[in-house]
Amino acid sequence: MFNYFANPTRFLRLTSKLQPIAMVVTLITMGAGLYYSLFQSPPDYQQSETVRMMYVHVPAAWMAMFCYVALAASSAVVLIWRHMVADIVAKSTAPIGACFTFLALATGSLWGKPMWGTWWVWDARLTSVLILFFLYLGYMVLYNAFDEPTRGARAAAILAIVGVINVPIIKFSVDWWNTLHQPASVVKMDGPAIHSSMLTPLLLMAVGYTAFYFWVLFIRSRAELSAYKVRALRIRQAEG
Amino acid sequence: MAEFLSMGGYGSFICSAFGLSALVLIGILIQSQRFLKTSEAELNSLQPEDTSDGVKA
Amino acid sequence: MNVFWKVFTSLIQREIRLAIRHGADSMMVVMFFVLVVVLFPLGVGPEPGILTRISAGVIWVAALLSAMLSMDRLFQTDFEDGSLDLLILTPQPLELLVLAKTIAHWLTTGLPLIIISPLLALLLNMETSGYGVLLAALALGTPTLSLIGTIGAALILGARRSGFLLSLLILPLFIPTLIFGVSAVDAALIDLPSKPQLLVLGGLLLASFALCPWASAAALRQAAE
Repeated sequence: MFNYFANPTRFLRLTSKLQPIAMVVTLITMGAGLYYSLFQSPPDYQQSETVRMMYVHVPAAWMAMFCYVALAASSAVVLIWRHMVADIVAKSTAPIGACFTFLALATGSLWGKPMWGTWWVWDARLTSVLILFFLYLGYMVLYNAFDEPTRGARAAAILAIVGVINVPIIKFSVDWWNTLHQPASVVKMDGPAIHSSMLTPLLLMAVGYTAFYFWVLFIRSRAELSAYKVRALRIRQAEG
Repeated sequence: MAEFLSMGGYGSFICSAFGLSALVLIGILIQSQRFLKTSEAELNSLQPEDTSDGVKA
Repeated sequence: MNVFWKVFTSLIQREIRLAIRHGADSMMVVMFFVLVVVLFPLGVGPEPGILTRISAGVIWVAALLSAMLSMDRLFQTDFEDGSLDLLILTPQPLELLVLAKTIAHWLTTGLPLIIISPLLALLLNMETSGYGVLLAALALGTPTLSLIGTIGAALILGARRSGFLLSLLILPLFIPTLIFGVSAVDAALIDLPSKPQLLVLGGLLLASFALCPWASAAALRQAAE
């Protein structure tokens, strides 16, 4: 299957077909998620109404890590098989992941101000997510820093793989260190620790964010593919 | 309505969190759409006769 | 094996000899280190209490910046004059040659920083209980910085605006070392055991010792293609 979709033309056909599906899923789940998170879920007994910010904060943080894993995985494919489709997926994922990371940091900060009384604390979770943000920025700048695009792609891929060490640090930072940030309460061995009235909007938003990632990923990969073809044509023209 | 907007005094924080998220997500969506449009237009201007290889989706 | 050690040690010797002959790099790093640290008392005011409080952090941040400053030349000259291609073509594994270069880099830039640091601690009014831990933390931390830095130095070969790029790539990766390095000294200054932090620093060193040469060698190979 991997080889089948590694063909750029097939990949283009597939993304063009899947793009409207991702759009519909995004709009439905996010619409429902917004309705549930703003109107249909109760305020938390400890955090009162601010718990609603969780419904945009937590999915953004999940997606920040998900995108990084996707980025690192496709970077590994770029380095091992030198495949163009993987390169396009990696290059298209980076800006989306950077946006999710920025949102996770910004909404977390907006939640922290009323709850912790400060916009920012230098604990392990926040610091490691900030490093993640810099990794995304570094990836994008390094990718575009070379005159020869394949050099940039490979150098950035190596950076992405080196940075993957940060992902488990983010995941376990709340367990390894005593921090203000609360530990995971949805993904646990003995089932989620939050009530279903809050789990519904959270999961809806999470599905919505994931579908949104794929939606934008499909748009961006089609654009990158066209840009790639333009470059190839230009080179062919220049060589006569 | 006013009571809903104030959200127990945290309305401004909650509104900015949701508003900022919407702004950034819609922003990258629009930027990606534009990128797609310009790069496909450029490709078509380079090879106007060839539309059979699935470039025009 | 014998041949390999010969190559390994002669590469280290070559680097050190080059560094001594140019002389500039080590001196530049040390002078930059001193200058940054000296700026702080002038910036935050000469009040001894404040200086004592921030001494560990200032020394670590300055060490980080000076380590980075020396980094962008690490492979650059080899890349430009073609010796990098020769290194890649040698039958010895490139990972270990990278390690030799890293060791030489640490000996010429990291070691002088450690030697000069007690003097700076003195200028910053650090209490005597912190000196030993500061030296131990720097001794464990600066090799980690050199190891991580080689990845960045290898990645930026041939890039535009490489100086800025290098700082964007490796400063975030330096953060864990900075955090544990500073907290080791801070713990010693308030008479808490600093062994846990030093152990973490040692762990970071071993992990980067095992992983960084691979990444740098991969980056060098694709740069030389």
